[in-house]
Amino acid sequence: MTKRILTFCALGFGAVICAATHTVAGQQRATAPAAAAPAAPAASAAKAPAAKVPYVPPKTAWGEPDLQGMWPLSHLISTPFQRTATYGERRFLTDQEFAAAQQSADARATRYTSGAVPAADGGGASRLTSLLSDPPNGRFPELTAKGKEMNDKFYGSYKPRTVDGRPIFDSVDDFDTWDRCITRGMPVSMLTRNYNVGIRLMQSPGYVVILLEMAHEARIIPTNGSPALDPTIKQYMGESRGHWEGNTLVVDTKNFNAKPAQTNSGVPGSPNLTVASESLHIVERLTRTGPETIEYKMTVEDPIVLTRPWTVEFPWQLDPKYDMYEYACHEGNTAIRNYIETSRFERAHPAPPAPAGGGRGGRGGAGAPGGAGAPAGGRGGRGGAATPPAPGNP
Amino acid sequence: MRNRLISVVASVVVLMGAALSVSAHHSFSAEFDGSKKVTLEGTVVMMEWVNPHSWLHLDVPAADGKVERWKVEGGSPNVLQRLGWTRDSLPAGTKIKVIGSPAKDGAKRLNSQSLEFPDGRKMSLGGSNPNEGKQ
Repeated sequence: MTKRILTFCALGFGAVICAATHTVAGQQRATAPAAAAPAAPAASAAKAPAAKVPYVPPKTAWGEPDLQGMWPLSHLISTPFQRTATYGERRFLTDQEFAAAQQSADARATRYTSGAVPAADGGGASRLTSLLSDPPNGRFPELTAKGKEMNDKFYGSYKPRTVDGRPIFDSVDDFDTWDRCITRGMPVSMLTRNYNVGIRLMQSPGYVVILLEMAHEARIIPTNGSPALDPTIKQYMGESRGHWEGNTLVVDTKNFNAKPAQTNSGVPGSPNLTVASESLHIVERLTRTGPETIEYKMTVEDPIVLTRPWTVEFPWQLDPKYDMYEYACHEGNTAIRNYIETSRFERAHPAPPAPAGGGRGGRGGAGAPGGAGAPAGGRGGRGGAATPPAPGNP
Repeated sequence: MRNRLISVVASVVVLMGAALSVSAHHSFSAEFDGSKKVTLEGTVVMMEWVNPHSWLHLDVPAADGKVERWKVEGGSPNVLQRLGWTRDSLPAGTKIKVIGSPAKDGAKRLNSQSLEFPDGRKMSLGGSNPNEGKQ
């Protein structure tokens, strides 16, 4: 795929496309939150009658709004996918809440820099109470009866198949596409997580390419009006077609094979895996709102699985200094084998019943599924719908 | 196997509470036991810079005088790179102390929680351990 992109760039515009074309001074990640803060007033201003003069984005040589650059989602690591119930329908943190979230993120960043905290690519707090903007309460929609039935049979390492309350891993079918290093799929690939959140956007006449660090994806989006693929052709990332509405890039994606999940607990504050169907349909809108910001909006509908669509809205933040590394996910993916071996070992060696009082030391055998040390119990609280992490404290 | 494993380690500590940590690529708890803490002191054999998780191979002297080879899971190469590691950070022969959570099935695998050089420097191996950074 890298070769394909390189060829694409060479044929198209050479270094102009491949290089980060924006010359604005790169911001240190530590300062990103402050830059993200204007999202609140900007969004409010959009609804206010006395709106500011809209930002006029730079244009490419062929006259399209220029969205190109490196737009990692590091600044959203502390923003949960779903909103904590205490915020109700409020989209933005108060100054006081934001200061607290910022402090928490800074403390984490300090630990990160010192090497004491793993696997988080820096990033501070944002003003948003959640990535989800619709439903208005910031909570993921209810599933349909059919959706629940499908979801009950949809498995991954964070939502394992269980027998008698015990997680079972016995074949590759017990893992989701991300466990298997195939893809995070859509829409999850466009959401943040705690590492490898690089996004590079490139343009050429008739095409937009969105390069994703996790997990080594390139979304090639024709904007030339060419006909869409036949609906019978299904793909992991679906098939995207783009067009311009004024300064906004609109990307319409369908033709999904429904193998990847539409939510993944790798996104902080997200429900564990949620199944998708082939009726999945995604519309993204990207509008450059400043030299270093793009407003990103994505609406997801899947009428077979969901009782209503859901929408996320958040700012992208330019960071030309972010380096994107190759993430050849599958090269050493020993987790599949290790989980299966562990699961088989646990079934062959059931743990003794947990001692009275419920110590944590048990291996979580069939006789003690509710013990705190049981695998199922250990997994339950991770970003589940009932307990999303608070902003700034993932 | 379990007893033998315990004989290798310097300490096994029951940790209190399940920390809600940053989420890893795979579920930590399906493979490792976060309620146990194992300390290994040994010599680096090899550092595998592979995705989606790196593996540090260590030779660790056991109580019976034999040497056991352990594999310690860390973060992906790009996470390690951003944490400041280079491919030369852990050459073969380096003495190292690693604390982490052991594999549930008794295999000699560990998920790294903290890593310490003989001179006292500490580094994160960028793993998915919910106890990462705690001592």
